[in-house]
Amino acid sequence: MKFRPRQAPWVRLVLSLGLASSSLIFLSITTHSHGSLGALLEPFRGLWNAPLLNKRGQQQFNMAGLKGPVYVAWDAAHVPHIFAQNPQDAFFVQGYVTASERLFQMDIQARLAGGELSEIMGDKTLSLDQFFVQIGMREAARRSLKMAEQDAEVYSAFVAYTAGVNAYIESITPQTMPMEYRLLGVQPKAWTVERSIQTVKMMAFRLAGRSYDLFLHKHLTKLSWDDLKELFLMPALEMDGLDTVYGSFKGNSMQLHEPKFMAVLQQVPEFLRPFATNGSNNWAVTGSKSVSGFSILANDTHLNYSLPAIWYEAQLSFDKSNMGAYGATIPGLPGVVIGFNNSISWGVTNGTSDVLDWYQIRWKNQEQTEYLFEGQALSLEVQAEEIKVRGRPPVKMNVKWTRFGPIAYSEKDYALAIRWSAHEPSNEAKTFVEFMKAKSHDECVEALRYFKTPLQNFICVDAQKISITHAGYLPKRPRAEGMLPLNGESRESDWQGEIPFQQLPRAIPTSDRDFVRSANQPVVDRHYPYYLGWDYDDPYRARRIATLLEEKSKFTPEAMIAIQNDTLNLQARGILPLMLASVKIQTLKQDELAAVELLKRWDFFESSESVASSIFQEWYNLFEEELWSPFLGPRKGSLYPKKLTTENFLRKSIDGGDEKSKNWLKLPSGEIRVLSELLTKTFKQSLANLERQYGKMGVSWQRGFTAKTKISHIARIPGLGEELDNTGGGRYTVNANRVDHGPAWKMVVHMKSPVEAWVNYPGGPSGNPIDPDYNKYVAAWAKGEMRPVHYWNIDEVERSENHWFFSQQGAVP
Amino acid sequence: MIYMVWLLVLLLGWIVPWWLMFVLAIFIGFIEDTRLSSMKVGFFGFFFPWLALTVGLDLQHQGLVALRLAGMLGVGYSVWIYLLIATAGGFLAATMSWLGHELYLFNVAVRLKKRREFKNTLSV
Repeated sequence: MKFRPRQAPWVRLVLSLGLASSSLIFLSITTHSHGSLGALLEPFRGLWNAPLLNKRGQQQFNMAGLKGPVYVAWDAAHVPHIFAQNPQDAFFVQGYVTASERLFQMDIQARLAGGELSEIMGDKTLSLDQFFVQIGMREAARRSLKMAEQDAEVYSAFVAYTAGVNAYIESITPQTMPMEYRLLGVQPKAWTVERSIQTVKMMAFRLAGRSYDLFLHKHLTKLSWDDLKELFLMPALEMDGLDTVYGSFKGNSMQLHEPKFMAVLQQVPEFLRPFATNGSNNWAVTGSKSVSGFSILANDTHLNYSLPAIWYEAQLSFDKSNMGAYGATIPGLPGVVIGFNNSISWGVTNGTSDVLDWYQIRWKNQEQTEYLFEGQALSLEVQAEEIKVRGRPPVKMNVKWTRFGPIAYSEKDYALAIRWSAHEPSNEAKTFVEFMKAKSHDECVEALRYFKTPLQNFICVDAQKISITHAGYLPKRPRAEGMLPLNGESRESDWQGEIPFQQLPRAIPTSDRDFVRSANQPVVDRHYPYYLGWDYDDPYRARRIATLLEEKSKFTPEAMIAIQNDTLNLQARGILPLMLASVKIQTLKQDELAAVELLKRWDFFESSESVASSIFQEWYNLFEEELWSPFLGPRKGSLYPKKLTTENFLRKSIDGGDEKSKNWLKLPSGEIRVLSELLTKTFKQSLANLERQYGKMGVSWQRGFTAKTKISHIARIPGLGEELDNTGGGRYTVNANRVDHGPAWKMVVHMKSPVEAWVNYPGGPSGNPIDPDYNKYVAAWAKGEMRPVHYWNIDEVERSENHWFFSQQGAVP
Repeated sequence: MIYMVWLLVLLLGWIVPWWLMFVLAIFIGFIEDTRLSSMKVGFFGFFFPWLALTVGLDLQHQGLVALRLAGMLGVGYSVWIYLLIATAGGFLAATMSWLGHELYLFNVAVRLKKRREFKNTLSV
């Protein structure tokens, strides 16, 4: 080796040492948000070398906790069909298999509900955890856990499922650790029965945690009670005469400075808020309306898209008579939530009725330990809670419970307490266990007796009978209260138990209608004796489904799939001609006239190629905001009337306008707006907006590009989601696909013998982003294609070459 | 020399932790004649095995590891991820080899200085 003497060799030594050590430290460092980059990316043990779950060939497992052998047959679509000799073993293996595919998803959902996210994410999710703990999610799970413990059958299902999940967690090696845990540099948490129940409570929050009472009250600071009723009560309800007295706080009588609380509510990330409309469609035709003579069910649940998908597809069978179910399961929960077996099928849409009320509490003392009720001082029940935070000491919280529910927000003299059906102890899992045992429509309906939250429109179908039940905990209110915050000082506003099961709204076929359907529309007419709510979805989807079902006398399953993919927008068909009729054509330029022509020729189908759909959506949104913002504030953070209300306003205004509709054109300043000018201005603005974003009008304005479908990773990790530009549909079409929300599970079941079914969802079986199964079904889902499936018999397991075999520890396979 | 490093990387990589492999790259600097050649051997000694392994092992995932990482980092193509990882490995090995060489030179310089001081003592 040659040696050339240089000056100051220690300087170069220090430099090289600094560079080498800092590079090594940088790649080794584990922060609060991620694990070591070096360990993650090195090819020998990092992500590149992570083994995939083996769903091909045969594998054998020897497990403690099983009572007998269990077969898992993986079909060509990589759906597990689990065959056990008893329910507990089926749930055990369901837990094991689901965890092997979706462990991180299960963990994150339970952590969300339990306010335990900060334990792995650090400070950045602390306010979210505090919110969920504050609104009583932990206590709600504890109450339901106590109830489940009283039911031996259900509790044993939970315990077996938990044991299965934990058996998988124990089998994880550093190399089989799910990618997200590696990225975050954390370990999975052991599963418990309580975590399963927390998963149900999270679903309840997303689907039945909606309440616009505070938004409406905010509007009352600017509008009269009559104005509020005109804008927000569903026109259908008004026609049915249900606009009776709602709420105790007419006028501006609430003492709280509620905008501050509204700001607290806004802190919940958009994708978690229950305020987004989580709708769905389900319908069924009787045998008299099907070609085969057997009933057909169709269901598509509309939820936020995510990868891994919300649902996990599986079959569970647990005795010699092949009892069980095939369908959509929720990772973290034993049983099948939406599905079918050889005798029945069932599905859900969100019930949407009002199951959450706000009560204004008046403090008795400055220490805020007592509050006033019927002139008496009542003490709070205080629960000490702790939130673990990664990288810092735990945060302690006191959750204060009133007789109504937990205090969600407090000021000097007043506070807001929540009364919510999800706080009531409940045993939803029993419904799913009963579904799997049910052999008839009536047994399916009977299983709904145990279902409390989130309130759903359950459709039950057997070969001949069909019905929809608005099932869940529906509070009996003393008066038609619940639209606005209630007076927490008076017994008058108190809930008086729940509406009895036999009195829950139920739809059955009639002599002139041999189908049932629900699409989140109002469920009762004015003859129903109880107040249920006001915030139902616009009726466009429900009307379109009814029209399509009435058009033909006989249906096949293929025809049902076609209805699920229907993209006709009844909202656009109703309002667009009114909008176009008012535009001042003479003021438009050449390209604007071309856009008008395009809209006039539009068939109102929201296909991915439709340019007219993009123009309509942009124009309508601008017009709506321009119309209502002087009275209701900017759209973001506010509540606007239903689309049907805006359509009715426009119809009345164009026909000359009654006094009421004219009022909405008069600004608070006294200035009178001209409708045609408003529409022309927003039309021009919408075209300018589209041109700015997508260039000149043309292919780039197609709906597929202006409203791309975005399926994000469940923890919003960038790069782990999907973006599609070939999907059609919209908020008010039967195919309710819109950007990040829509048909998250689609199913059609033909109740002939043997039962035939078709399913699909925007995801795949695997929760592992580097597994080709992660997004296996997305492309077919985007095209509206469905996958034929059926309820397997045990014989098919023997024919299948792809199966796992679970045996008791010590038993010889 | 470089083939020997490739072989060692491929053999040791499955056994020792990733960071220890880079610490071992210090010895390249003791063996190579110049600073530049040390860094070259360090860089390419790690770059090629890492590139081959990342591409090869990603094939079992149908290229999804690089695809997901490309999405997370916002780079257009998976191939950049392969190159980025291999370059990162090569860079770290090169810095370690450089450190090794500087350690060697420092050691020699100290010994020379001592020898000069000893000679001066003798001349006095």
